[in-house]
Amino acid sequence: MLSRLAESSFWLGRYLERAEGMSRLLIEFHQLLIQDNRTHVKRGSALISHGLGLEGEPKTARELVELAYGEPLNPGTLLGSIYSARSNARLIRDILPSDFYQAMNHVSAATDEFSLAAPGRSLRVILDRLAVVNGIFEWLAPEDESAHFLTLGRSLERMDLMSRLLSLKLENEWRDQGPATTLRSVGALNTYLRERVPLTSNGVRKFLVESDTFPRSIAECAKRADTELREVATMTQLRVDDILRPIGMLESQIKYLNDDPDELERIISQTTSAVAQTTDGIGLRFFRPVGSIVWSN
Amino acid sequence: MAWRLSVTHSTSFQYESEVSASFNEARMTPINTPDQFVISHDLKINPFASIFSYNDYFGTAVKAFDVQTPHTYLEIVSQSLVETSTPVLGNVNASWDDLSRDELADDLREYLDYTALVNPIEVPFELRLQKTPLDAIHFLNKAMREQITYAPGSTSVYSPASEAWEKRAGVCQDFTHASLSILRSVGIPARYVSGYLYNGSGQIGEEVVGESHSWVEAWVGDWLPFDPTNGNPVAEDHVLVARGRDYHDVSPLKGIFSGGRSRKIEVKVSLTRIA
Amino acid sequence: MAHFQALDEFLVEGQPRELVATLWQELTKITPPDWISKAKQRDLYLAMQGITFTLSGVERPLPVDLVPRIIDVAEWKHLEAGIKQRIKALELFLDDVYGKQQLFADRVVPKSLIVTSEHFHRSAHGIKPANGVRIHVSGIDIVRDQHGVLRVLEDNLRSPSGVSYVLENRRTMAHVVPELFNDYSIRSVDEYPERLLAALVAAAPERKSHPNVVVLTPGVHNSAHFEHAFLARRMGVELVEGRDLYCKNNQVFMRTTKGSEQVDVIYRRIDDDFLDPIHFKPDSVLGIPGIINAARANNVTIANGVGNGVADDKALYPYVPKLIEYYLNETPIIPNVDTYDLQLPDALDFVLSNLSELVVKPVAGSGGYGITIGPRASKDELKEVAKEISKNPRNWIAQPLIALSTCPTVVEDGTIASRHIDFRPFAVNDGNEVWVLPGGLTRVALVAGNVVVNSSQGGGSKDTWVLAASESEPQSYPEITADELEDPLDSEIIPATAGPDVLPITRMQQQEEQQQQIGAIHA
Repeated sequence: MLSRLAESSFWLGRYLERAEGMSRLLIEFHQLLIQDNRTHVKRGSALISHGLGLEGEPKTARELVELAYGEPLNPGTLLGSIYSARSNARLIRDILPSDFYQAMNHVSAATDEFSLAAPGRSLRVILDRLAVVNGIFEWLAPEDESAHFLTLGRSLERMDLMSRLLSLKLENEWRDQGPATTLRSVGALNTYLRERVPLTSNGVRKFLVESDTFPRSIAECAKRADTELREVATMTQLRVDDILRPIGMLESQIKYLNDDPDELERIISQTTSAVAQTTDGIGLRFFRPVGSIVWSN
Repeated sequence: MAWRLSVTHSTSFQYESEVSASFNEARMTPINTPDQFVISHDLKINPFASIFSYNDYFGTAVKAFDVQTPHTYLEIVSQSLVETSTPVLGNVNASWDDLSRDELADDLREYLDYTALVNPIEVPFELRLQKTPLDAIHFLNKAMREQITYAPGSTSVYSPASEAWEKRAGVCQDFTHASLSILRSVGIPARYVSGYLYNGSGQIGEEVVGESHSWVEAWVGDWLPFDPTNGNPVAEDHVLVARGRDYHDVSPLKGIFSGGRSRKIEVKVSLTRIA
Repeated sequence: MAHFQALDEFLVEGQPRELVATLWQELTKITPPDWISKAKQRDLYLAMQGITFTLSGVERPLPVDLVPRIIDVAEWKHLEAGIKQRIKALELFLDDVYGKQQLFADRVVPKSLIVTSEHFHRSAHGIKPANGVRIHVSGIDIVRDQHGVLRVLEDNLRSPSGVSYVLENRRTMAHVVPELFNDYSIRSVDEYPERLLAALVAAAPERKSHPNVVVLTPGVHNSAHFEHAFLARRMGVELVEGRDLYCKNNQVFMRTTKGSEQVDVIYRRIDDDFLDPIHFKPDSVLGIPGIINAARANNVTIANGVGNGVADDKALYPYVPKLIEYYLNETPIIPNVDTYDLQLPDALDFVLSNLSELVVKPVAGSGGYGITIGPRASKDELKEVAKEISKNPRNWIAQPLIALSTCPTVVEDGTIASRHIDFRPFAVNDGNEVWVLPGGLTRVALVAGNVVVNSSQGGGSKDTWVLAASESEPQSYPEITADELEDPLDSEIIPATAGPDVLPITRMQQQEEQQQQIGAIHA
């Protein structure tokens, strides 16, 4: 398929996942900070915003939400990722299922009524509407190159978000609620509890890295990314084993993970760079972006 | 008597930042005419680019090429070997009445209309008072250097005729545009000619620094060449490359490029009389 | 001031012509409230299909009027022959103008007329397309005058648009008013994308057996983007923008995930001016540098050809009948609207003294802007336009006022009233023959008395029915939509229409049944 459309499909996937991930994170973080006593709030807000890669010094829960909600032109923020997702969807509208773009518009409409004072409800609306978008995609999108690039983008973004979340080490600031909040912010609490593992900080961290039952664990997402990239390779008849190396290494490290906590931390911190390297590799191999050319004479 | 001239025209561009792609058309190849024979021509480009040749609407030999590897330096060297002779004139004795025929005005419309560069100027003399159009040409050829002084740097490649006319200064491009404007204003079809001028002593083997040059061909029963910048006749020392309505149709190198801040251009022309 | 009585396509003194008698019966059965409700259905259908037209930056549905326009077999034969003839002559004209220019030597058309046209592109000189075709797609605008004579109003040979609406209008009609289709054998319009693709493939440079054809669009913001995407989809070819393509070694390539794929034919819906920054506007970001030279080297075919605008230039229009005679040795089958060439002094004088009776149009510009209709203009407007014309007669043509024929149309209050129409049939030239789509875009001025019908000025369209001469011609049948079928869950077996062994088709599985079955087993 056209490189331009593949690139948009990939980034649509990443931004959709980012929007969903950040919405969940913000709901939980906001809850955490609101219920907290004053000593943790300032430090906690700074910690979280730093972990999310945001530039700013929020001192309260509200400031954190404002910063993370952000603005349309900063794709590292929630609003920015929704905006970028929609822009990309617009560009590939003709190859997406017909209701998809409308559903995207519906998500954007939710941002028109965002309440910074009571963000929980607004974030839930965004999440619900994103669920519709995802549902339409799951049901109606044919398994073509575009779909594979989109899912590839989502898988990589999920890995990245998970690694950021785990790097926050919420349990250091919030001894009691840390682990549960971490699980809730990726929708994993019930799954974890069903496995009847004690709710410890280390248990949660290990789970979110290596679980093969929870679809958002780093291991599962890496596996998915691997599969999608191989599908693309088959369709385009181009090799991808060099691009897959960082993720492959990550997967094998997770597979042979022992109880060494340092090993776990290494994997978590390596994930972000693995995602970045993989993204670069994909760009060079398949998109070869040109950027906009301005001619002089 | 025919001359054999070797012409080397090199153009180089230096950029501060990389050019990612550049597409160009060179109009530097002399053409075959009844008065000129092209023995050989070669265009060398650095970095290497393959060349596509064709003849354009005006009969000019065009060489198109593109460089799509990043570069900060581009050099184009055009090398020609031509045999030139004094133009043999046809019947250049049309009367003013002949020029006013509708059919002629229709056929040669492109050389009678103003363009962006050949725009109207205020002419202090009345060419139509001359007995014949040919006389008008001779008059104009002498008059131009009284109207404009040859002064490089006073105008630019984009200057229309009126600019040089007001400044009373310009280079050969301006002399040519102004002459075209005056001729067209009195109904004499006239076209822009580009090429090279050999400015040397005529000594065999002596390499002479030359220039891209332009002059005029006016239709007065047949096409008559003349050189308003220098006032001397167009002879073996003129090598003809291209004809058109104005400079835009014949510019030696035109194209587009992306990237490449601060472009510095260097042009060198040299001619040597071989025989 | 002469008053013209426009002819109506359906009615003569209020009574329906024989051709439309059956239709008229059906039409008059429908009450205004019904029409309004059907119009709502139509709008909903169009919105759901995403069939829109962008006007002033806003996407809106292109309103197809629910009363079709009908053309009988004989009249269509006449139109078809006339269009074919006209395209053939214009192809020869373009070949001549961008080649030997013999027609100037023979004084058929003044050379000045052509060389001063802003659409005469010297960079197209000497380009010889692979199969000789330059007018791959054309839209010839036709009107019926007050005497019933069909005349060519305008040629569109560059990037005529509207054919996607022709196809969609048929489907919309079949969806919303299927009852009108009874008793009429209407020729199908669905072949168009196949025919277009075949013509584009035939135009490929002689090389490959499966040429790579693309549709080049300016992008999603272009008002006709819907059509570009529609045609690309229906032909099964890639829809590309300028930045997806690049030229190397005078060949054109497409950037894909697989790598670079060579492109052989480009059906471009971008104006010449934006096509190649080397030869045209250097600041155009829509085009591909080097594409014209690639076409010149015959490594790619550009459809429609570069420089076609010189042939649909309004200033050339008065000469087209002469071109038909010169190139084909035939008399024009479909005449022009009589036009005054304002470069002739006598014509200019006549026109300036009779402006109040005539229609004057600027040569440049399209979409109906700038036209002055004499009998409707104020004294000041006439004075203004007279000044403009005197300044630059080459930029204007003048024609007598034609009363465009009218056709019954459903108007806002649900009643049927007659509105002025014109007609744009589309033709595809594959090098061997010119095929005219049996149908076309009838455009209707929705405001009473309005004669300018372009969609850019708020006109609407009508489905155009060309009747089938015989059963052998592919015909259009209204599609049975899902809600018109009986609910399949109500009948367990749907009888087959043919074949001895008919398998009963059962209802879809339901979760409840499975639970009951399991329950029964465990009971």
